[in-house]
Amino acid sequence: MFRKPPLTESCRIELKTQLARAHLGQSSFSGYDSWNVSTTPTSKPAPLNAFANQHCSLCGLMCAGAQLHDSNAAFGGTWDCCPRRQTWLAQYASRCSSVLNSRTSFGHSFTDRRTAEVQAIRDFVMGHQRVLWWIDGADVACTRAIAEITQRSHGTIHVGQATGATLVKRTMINEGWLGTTLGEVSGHADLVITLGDCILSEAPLLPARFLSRPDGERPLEWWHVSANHIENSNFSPTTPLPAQSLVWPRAQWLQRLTALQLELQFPANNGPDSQTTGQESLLAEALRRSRYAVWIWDNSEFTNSIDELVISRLLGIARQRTETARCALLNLESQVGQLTAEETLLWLTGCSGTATWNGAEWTTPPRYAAYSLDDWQTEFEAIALVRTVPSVAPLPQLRAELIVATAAELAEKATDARQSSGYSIVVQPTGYAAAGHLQRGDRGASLLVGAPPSRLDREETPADWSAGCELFAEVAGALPSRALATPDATRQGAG
Amino acid sequence: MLLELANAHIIDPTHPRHGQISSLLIENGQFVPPEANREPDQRIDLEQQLVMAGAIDIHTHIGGGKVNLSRLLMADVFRPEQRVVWPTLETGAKYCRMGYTACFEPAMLLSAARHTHLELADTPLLDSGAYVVLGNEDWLLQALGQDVDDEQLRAMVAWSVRASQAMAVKVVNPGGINAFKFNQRTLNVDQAHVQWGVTPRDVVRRLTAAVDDLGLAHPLHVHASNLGVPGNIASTLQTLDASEGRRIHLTHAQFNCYSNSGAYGMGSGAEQLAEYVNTHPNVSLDVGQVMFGQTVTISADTAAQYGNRNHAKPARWYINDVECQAGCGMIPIRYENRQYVHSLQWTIGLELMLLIQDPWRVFLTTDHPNGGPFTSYPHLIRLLMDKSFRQSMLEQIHPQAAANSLLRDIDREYSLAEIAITTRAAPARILGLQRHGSLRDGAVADVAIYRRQSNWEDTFAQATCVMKGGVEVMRDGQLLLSETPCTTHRATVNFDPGLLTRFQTSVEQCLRMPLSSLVISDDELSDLIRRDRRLHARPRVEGGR
Repeated sequence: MFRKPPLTESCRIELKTQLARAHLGQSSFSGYDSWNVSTTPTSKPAPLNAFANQHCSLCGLMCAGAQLHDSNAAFGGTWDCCPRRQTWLAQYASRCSSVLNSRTSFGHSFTDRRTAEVQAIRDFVMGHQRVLWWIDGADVACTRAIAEITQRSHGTIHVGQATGATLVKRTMINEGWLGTTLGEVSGHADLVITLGDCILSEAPLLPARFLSRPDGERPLEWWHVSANHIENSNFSPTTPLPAQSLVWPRAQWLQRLTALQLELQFPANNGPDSQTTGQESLLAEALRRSRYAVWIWDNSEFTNSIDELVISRLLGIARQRTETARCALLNLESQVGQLTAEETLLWLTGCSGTATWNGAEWTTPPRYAAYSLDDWQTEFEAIALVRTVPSVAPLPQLRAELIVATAAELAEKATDARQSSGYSIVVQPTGYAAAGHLQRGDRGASLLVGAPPSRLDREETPADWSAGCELFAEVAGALPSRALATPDATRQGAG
Repeated sequence: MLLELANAHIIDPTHPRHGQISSLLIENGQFVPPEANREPDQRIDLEQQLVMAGAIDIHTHIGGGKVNLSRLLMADVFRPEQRVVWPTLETGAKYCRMGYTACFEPAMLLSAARHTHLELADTPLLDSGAYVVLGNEDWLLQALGQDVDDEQLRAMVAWSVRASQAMAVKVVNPGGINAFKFNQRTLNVDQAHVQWGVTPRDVVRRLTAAVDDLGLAHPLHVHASNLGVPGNIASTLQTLDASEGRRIHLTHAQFNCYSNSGAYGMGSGAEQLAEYVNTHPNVSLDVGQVMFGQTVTISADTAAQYGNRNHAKPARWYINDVECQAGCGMIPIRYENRQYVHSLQWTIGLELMLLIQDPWRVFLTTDHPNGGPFTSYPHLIRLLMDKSFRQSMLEQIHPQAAANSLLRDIDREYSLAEIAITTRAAPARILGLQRHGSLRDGAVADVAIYRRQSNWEDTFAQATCVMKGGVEVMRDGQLLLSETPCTTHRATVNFDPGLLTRFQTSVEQCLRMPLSSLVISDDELSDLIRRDRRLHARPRVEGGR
């Protein structure tokens, strides 16, 4: 049984060094047989910001590894100070080692041979009648290839279970939306209100990168509203802290926001019978002063029907303020692989979240909207679970006959799946040893991750751990062609 | 292989045998002249069907974040057969069915350029390209407000074109989108931006000059100020004047062509605008024709879209500011022929197309999907080619709009040659695509073949055969080949990177990301953005200069 070695500081540095080398294509990192967790001190760790276009995918900010232009260095932009990334690096190393040392003991049969992997996926697709591709996180190319496989095999694709994003989508459709992006926050906002207990841990560099401005620029006032006090010890001394930190019990958020909205709408109502507290009045005053206010929260923290009302209330405040000034909402999605897969599926199929190929067109059967994990498992004969984009979120508790994921995810999943009889295939994590396109968590930018310019040619890609997109593209090519889609010739649309 | 299209009725005013029944020869993807003593390897008898070059749409929103968001916004409204914004495969197939072989996305933001190219790469059967949106960035407006010198401005524009792999430059409501972010709700042509001090006239004047001096084939593509506002014809003409005689292209002109006289304080400015275009050879425009029915409007002009949100039908809307560059506004709308304003819009588009004399400078578009879906082009072509049909449709619109319209007195009917110019030859010329839009020897063999039907709408609704690079990709509406290599057209520009230091600082201060993050390299475009669709057939990437 593999026992995780203690991770010393020097060990962490070595891990970072290995990853940096992998980025540069210099290391033996490409094959996991070479992975080991060295405890040997290294005197000269390689810099992580070795080339442009490197972006971290562990949260919605997608921080760049390269330094910004010299004169902007104060804004940060390096990964070194990100606690989330440091934690993930350590976990990733230990989990990779875990996979290596335990691969024969899991119920899944691992293989590092591309041809065998392609054959295994092909057999999986051909051997089942009703296949669900559950994408928990993938880059554009990977999603494209899975869509092609699904089309050829008349299957279904489902992108994660992003309930937070679903609430926003529903609010947008029912009531409208006033949104913004991170660049607008740093460039235009004069008041930012972060809402929630997760936002600062889900996006640790948010304050440093986007909520601070150099001296002499227009001031930006930052308020934070959460259910718990901020632990200052969790932040480095250089991290900006909010000017005002309000603690509202979670159960009172809707009530407090409703009071805030009323206060903004009817300022004269602030009499003895008013529902507002001093805090809401102060916040209302700050909102009234602001020219461009932004509410920011993390999607993962708003998931139930009360939360939907909270979002609706935020929209109400934004609408009310935008009558005379500007106020906008920013729901940050930390699962950028999930967001990217959703976006890609949308343009490929026209379907949001779930798409079934019925032989002629892509559709979303309405019943899927309310499906639970159990429902998905009973509906389909076999499920393939895919995550190729690194993430700190655990994989869903889903029984899958095929798992295609990075080593870290597989190690985690394997502990739950010892009794399962299926295939697990390790792929290179997008952004580290494989290049890919990802959508940033605010939908404001699409970025190329993990692609040093000299490594773009396919021929140079290391072959031991397949990049997900290449693996799936080969599978699609190996599947028999069916009739091409020919949309109904008689449709003329409106007009 | 030498392919002969025999017995072809050639419709191409640039071709020496235009209007004749003759043969066309294709080899290696292009038209070739006949060679003595050489027989074709394959001969197709077209039985005198109309043969035209593949059509080109110079302004159609078919890729990028806003298009995807509109799919999301409308996903539960439309059944698949009711859609007006389709998934990429259907978009390619529907265009191809009508004989289109190239389409250009006119609103690509720097930050979303990858998304745009990715979607365009997934749209089969169509060559594509995109226009990068400039003119509302903090860094650009600040520089213009500080009277940046011409050389530096050209470098900023050139970098933006190259970084985003763009074909041309578009400006949307110059300075106005940015002004809205500073809560300045209107910005007329000579009104100063509250923050940067620059006026829309300054933006248009400097950018038309920069685009011209850089040698970009396509002139500055201008979505003018005050879109949709009654009386905006005055500011539209001022915007065109701002070009100071340089080449300028006014886009979806119909939406910027309203007088403030007439019923309900809104009338047609088409006569004024057409007169202006007829007397200013530096000006071209695409129409943005409104077609009756359900659609969704999508625009970077959040200022205008915010004002329109109460007209949304169904009642849903989305307004988003994007990365200190522009915005994204979506409003669904149902154009109804019983409604005065919608009827007026319908007449204005047709008036423009019929009153502007030079078909080389007016382009047939609906600003898909803003004025209506591109699938309504055959109907629009019939309206232009068939006066009696046009008059019959005029009788069905709002009576006051019909009564005041110039359409009653316009006898002009477009000829087949004029349709070929406005949908093929002229778009190719204004985009600098020297080997497209034509059937001449040496041109790329993108071909659309039509059988004459009882009316022009039916004729152009479906080509009997479409060829892409000499390869038949669709026959009688059936897709034969979806994986044919397509071209990404982009401009080639040169600039001195040493001039970008201040620009780089400004951009990075705004976006908090390295400038290099925005750059799409040639390798990325050809190998990553397109590679997994065509692993064994690397797409061509062609300069559009």
